[in-house]
Amino acid sequence: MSDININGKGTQSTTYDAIVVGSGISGGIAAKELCEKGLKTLVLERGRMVEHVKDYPTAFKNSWDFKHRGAIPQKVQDENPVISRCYAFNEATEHFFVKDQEHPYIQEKPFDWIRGYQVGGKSLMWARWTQRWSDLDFEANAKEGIAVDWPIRYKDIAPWYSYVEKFAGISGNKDGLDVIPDGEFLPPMEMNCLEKHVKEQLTRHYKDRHLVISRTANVTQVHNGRGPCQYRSLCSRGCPYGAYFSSNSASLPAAEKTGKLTIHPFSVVHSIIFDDEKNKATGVRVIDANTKEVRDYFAKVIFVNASTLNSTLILMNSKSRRFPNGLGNDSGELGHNLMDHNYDGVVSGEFDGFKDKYYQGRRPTGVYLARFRNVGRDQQTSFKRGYAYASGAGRQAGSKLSETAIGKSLKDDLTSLGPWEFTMRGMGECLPYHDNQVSLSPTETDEWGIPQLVIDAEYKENEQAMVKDIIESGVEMLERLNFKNVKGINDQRNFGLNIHEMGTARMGRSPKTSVLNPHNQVWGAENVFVTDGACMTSSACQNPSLTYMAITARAVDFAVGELKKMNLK
Amino acid sequence: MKRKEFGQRLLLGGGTIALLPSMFLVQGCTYEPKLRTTLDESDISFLDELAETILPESKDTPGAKAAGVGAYILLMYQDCMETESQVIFVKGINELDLRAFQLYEDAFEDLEPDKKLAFLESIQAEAIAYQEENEGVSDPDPHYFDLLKGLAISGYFSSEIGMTQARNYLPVPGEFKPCIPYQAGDKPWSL
Repeated sequence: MSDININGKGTQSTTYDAIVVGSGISGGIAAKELCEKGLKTLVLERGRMVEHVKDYPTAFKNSWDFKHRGAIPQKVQDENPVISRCYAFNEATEHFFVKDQEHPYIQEKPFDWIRGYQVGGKSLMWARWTQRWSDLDFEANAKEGIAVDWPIRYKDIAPWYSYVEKFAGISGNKDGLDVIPDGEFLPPMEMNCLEKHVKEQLTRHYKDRHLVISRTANVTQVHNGRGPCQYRSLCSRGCPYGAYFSSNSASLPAAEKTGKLTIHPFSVVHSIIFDDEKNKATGVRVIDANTKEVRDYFAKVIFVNASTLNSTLILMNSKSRRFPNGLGNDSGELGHNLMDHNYDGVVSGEFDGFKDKYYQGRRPTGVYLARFRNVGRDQQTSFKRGYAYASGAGRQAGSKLSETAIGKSLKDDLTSLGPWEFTMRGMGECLPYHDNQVSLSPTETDEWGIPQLVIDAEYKENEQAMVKDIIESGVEMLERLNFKNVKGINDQRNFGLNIHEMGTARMGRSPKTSVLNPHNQVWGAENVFVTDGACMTSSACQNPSLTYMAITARAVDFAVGELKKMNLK
Repeated sequence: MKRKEFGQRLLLGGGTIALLPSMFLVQGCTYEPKLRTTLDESDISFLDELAETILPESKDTPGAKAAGVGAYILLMYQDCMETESQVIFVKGINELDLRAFQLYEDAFEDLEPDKKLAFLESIQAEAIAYQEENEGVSDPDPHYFDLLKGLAISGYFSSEIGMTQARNYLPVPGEFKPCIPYQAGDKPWSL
């Protein structure tokens, strides 16, 4: 992206057609769509530039090329306990993660806030699983009288799922399951022999349990000039083959190609400027991350895609006569209803078989046991909603002998294969609770004078009851399938660590109970759109990024239509 | 002073290198076990020998020493170990140094490989007994030998020798084959 206009000086106008705040997975899509529809678009990113390939310094390193072979030194861990709990944070990826010390926040209850402040945001390190939602998810709040109804249904979002899938490149199989509708898939990655066995046995023993290859944003063939996947499974270092979807590999280059894109890195957004005379948002106030200089940028339409909690922080910090409690907060719901999937339940077992079978290559995805709880005739009394299992089978080097042997017998054991193992981690839906919330600290500010975020959220009875069932059902399934040494554990992660924080500026049908309308416009400031995780009205149990992308593309299409109709002045 | 008493004094922290009685020298033994308060470069050769005993050279592949595991263990001790574990580990290295000397009247490094193995096997047995004693205890202190063995294994199998010779390394597989035959003796992939 060498010819992108970065921090243009002098006579450069500060007025654009559109401004996008944030360059992560949804901001990247917003930028691409706005640019491709002809709008001169400014993307504001608080962190540094990360250019595709050029800025992936560890992509080709071997384990032994790293000073600590990938481990994070103890001193760094002690100073940064939150980020050190993130599974993807290691010596090969640490440059993409925010260190605790750099951007403090206040935890009323333990909350692990995992952040990536750079061009591309967390789209560089995401896990790339991309199951669609279904009407089971969009209708749940209304059916159960929980929170507020989603203002959209599957039919509203389905064409936009297709649209972003075709662009991003999603490998997957058309499995015909209602709970995760089929999409526009590239050829699927394959299951190994134990995964195939488990799939067959599950459907034999349980009519409602379907194991599929996870739909994944890794391309299995050349797609829009990217890939194909080389099966190294080093994705979160940045892929030099462009084989997984990120803002850096796909959406920002597409936006750049239009000639309409300007990216300003090191631009910390302070607030949305709301003009009380004109009764509309006119632009964005930015603080230069390095010089602390304040600049205003203006546009007809503003997309807020700063990541769930930062988008809400910006709205809360955007105060005006019209919105004294934060932009779009007539309802008082801004900051409330924070969710994060619950991944506490893990089940594993050993399989005594397929000893003469192995696999080659490192498949960068797993298998997905689709939701079966509270679906169809299954009715749970102890919890609402449901969960899926992120699963996978594999063989490790070494056996139990390694625990007690040393010398030649240890070396022999560790240079041959142990038994097959199957692991399944529950991914549980989290309900939207009004009192799981964030607010602005009245006293503490960050380096740029912006109030620090106070986070106060926890899992409650429904999530705990679901985790119990995740573990019990997982153990029961593996035992019925004749696995040995079946173990179920509850690893009690902090809220936030599953990095699916959602909600706090929810979509709804009424300005009295929601922050965003059915098209992701801020109620009362209709030229401001929020289309990242902040907009979510419930969490479902699917990995959410694909849904953010689809919602974003849909909202841009609507926004540009409204601009043409002169409805957004 | 009998060797055993001397050893006890060392373990209790009451002795120093300066107090080493000259009788050992008279007996023709020039080795003096060290009483370390930390580990440094001078311990790499000892760590190499310990690691080599845990993962030795074999017919077709070099062992831990050739893979530089001693230097790796020192680095991990210095940079990647919690303080509590560092204390346990240094005490353990002192204990190995001293007990090998008590048993064989020679430095561990200078023992024949079979003696090295027999000695560390007895320590491995102690570590297993320690684990059994502590079963059900929440978050027990690690046994120093488990720390040592864990580092020897992680150091060896993340080294170039461990990854490319002891196991099969495919840095760029290029494709995923979900089901291939496996025969006893085939090496696992390096990850």
